[in-house]
Amino acid sequence: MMREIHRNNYEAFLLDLAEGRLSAGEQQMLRDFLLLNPDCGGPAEGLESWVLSEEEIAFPDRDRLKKNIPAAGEEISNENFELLSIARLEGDLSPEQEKSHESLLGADDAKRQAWLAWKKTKLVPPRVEFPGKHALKKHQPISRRVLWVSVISAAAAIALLITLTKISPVFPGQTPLLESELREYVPEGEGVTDDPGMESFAPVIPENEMLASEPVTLSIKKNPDPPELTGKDSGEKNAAGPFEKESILLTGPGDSVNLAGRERELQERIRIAVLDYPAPGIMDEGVFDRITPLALPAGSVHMTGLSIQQLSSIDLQQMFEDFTEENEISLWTIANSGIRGINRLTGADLSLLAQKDEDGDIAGIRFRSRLLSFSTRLQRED
Amino acid sequence: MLTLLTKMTVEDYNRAVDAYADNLYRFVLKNLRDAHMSEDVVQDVFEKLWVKLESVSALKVKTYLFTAAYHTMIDYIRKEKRYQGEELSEMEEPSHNGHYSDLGEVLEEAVKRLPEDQRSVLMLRDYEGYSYREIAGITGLSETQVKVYIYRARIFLKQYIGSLERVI
Repeated sequence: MMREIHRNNYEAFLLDLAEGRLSAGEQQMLRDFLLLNPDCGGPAEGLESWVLSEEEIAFPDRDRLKKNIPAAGEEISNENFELLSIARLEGDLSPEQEKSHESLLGADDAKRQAWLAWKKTKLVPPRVEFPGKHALKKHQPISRRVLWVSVISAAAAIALLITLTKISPVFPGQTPLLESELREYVPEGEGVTDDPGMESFAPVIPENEMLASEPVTLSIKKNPDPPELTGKDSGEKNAAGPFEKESILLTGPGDSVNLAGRERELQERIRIAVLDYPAPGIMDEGVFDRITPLALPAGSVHMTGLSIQQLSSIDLQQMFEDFTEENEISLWTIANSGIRGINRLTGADLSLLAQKDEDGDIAGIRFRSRLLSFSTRLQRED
Repeated sequence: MLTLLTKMTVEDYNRAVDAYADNLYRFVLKNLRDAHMSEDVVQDVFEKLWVKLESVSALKVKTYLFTAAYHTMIDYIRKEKRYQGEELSEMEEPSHNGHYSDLGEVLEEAVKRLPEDQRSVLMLRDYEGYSYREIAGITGLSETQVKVYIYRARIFLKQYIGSLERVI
């Protein structure tokens, strides 16, 4: 369909005419329009001259402008000597070209001098040392975290053992957990003898009702405001250990531990348990293998006046809850972590199994080691 | 020796620090001519590597480092506008009022006067021994452009050395 020409678009027609896009009919229409509208450019005669004809103007010596990387086999001449010298410097010449280049140098002293000058443009790397290299290096964050967890969870377990069995000596400023206090958690009339053989009287939970230990994650927060230590212990212990002026709070996922009333005591015991660890350098990376087993006294459980049967019947959960204001974190969480930590650090083969009730709550536990094995059902008060 | 694993480990990373931190620092320092800024660039580059540790091949870590350093360096230059007005004079006829004790000093002075692109490319070539293609990959230039820059840089260095030799 032919476009209509008018005063608003006639310039587009002129451009199309100039670039050869108008049909014969459109060209005629444009001529008629311009005749009728002389103010728009006058008669259309000579419109074809608007189109510039191609003009051939050649640049002289065009070939001299060209630069080519010498092809393999290209002969070396005076014209390409400079280019090929750079190419030789860059190692881009073929063996034949290199030989040819060399022979050219032998025949012309000026070229030899020029080549020597080219060779001087090759930069020799200076010896520069980066001053902060050591700071750039990264250490193994994962293994360190695992080590921390291991140490702290082991400390937690040791603290529990201390609490239960009083295997630790009493440090200045500490209030020993009295046996009478421990006995509060033993059901009345339970166990009347120290005979280890009596442990068989403890309620045994069938193996198939036990669940494997669940993975437990402990995050460790360093107390930003550690309690001041007093007495002889404060000076000596703090100066020696890696936890100088620090105490450690243990938290489980979403849990918090507030050790009501006995906070100082339990924290202190945890701290001391870590400080007393026989390998002072255990926090250093890479000394993991040199950690020696914990020197737990054999048969330490007998240091208490309680029998195995009495120990096994202790309401552990209740006892722990009495130590805490908030009970979201279970004894199981800490104890299980501690067992795993001790196993990791000492190569011991301790195990802690849990029996769960219908609601998924832990209803009983079984502890096993070479020295001691007991099962107990946890008493719950809903 | 870096492992051939695709993903880098922490050990690979630390080995890369040992192997390339100095070279990287030299490359950046010679271009920026500012020790503190160069240290910042190197630290930035290794931090980038650390963040992308698992996505960088141990085999290509050196190229990754130099690529990141080159572009970080260019960013620094643009931010600091350190070269404003300098580039105009860089290609002027060489002149030096001081005394050179050896060719190395002359060459260093000449390298300083090279335009940024030519200097970077030449250093990657001479200091690190990269191929044209590798330099093209690092700088984002075409291979032909790399060759042209090297060619021009050599011409300039030769002229600079020649003119000073006449003076000396």
